[in-house]
Amino acid sequence: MSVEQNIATIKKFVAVGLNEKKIDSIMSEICAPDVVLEAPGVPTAAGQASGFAIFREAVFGWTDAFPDVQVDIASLIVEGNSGSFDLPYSGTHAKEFAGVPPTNEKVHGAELWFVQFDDEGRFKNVRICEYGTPLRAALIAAQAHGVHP
Amino acid sequence: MPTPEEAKNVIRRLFGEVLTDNHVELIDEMYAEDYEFDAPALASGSGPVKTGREAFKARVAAFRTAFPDAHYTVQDIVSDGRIVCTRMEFGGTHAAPFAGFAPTGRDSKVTGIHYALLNEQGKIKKTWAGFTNIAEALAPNPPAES
Repeated sequence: MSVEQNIATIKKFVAVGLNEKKIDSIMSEICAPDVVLEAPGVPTAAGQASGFAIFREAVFGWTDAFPDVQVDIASLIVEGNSGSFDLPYSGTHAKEFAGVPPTNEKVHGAELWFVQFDDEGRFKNVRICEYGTPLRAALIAAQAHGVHP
Repeated sequence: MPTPEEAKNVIRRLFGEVLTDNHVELIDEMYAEDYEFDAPALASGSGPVKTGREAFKARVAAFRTAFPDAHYTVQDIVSDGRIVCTRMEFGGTHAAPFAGFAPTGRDSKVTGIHYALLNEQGKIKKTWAGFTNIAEALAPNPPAES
């Protein structure tokens, strides 16, 4: 696929999958069935697992816990079949996430994503890293301050 | 402004010569004077954002103390000439306390993403980065491989 098509896929994933919370409507279009996900909280030593379900669950688990989450693309660079984007976000912690009960706090954070595409323009390898204050640490801090017993 | 390939070579040099070969003296050459970085805290109580070459040298030294044989691999890299995005892996023997984790003595591998903003002269002006699996890799009893 062309760089332009890969950029369009990333923008569609962010707009539809994350901001509109309709990841199921585009999963087969944007994601290879054997996609490899590397992300904080994936419970293996290498922090990676593969398959449609693990990727869907990672996206759905986040957007479900923060139902008003909105993300931006702060930067997006694609070369060939590799692309990376910086994803600041904000959303209200309305359901349990990463073992932390809902705080109903508006939280802000940011993630770096590095995506490698297959020849059909679908996500083949997805790596996600948080930077700044990790989300779970921010939620625990909100609890620790006694605002949310 | 550097070309994308020139910008990527700056970052390849960072991971190779500076961080793996431990030529920290190159930091003065490769980093802007007003350099700023945003990276995971190495110890509780320390904030994530630091400024200046000397603060970065201290961070590199902390890594080197915790992982005396630290080595980095650039797995993939993209750039527009201004920002360089690197898919990287860090490895080494976890020999001393690091980021709140007691030393395990294991050869650990941690993956991450590193972003660098270069200035017009091709010097590193700002970096921000994160790890993917540091909690799993440095845990006293790590989870299974898969």
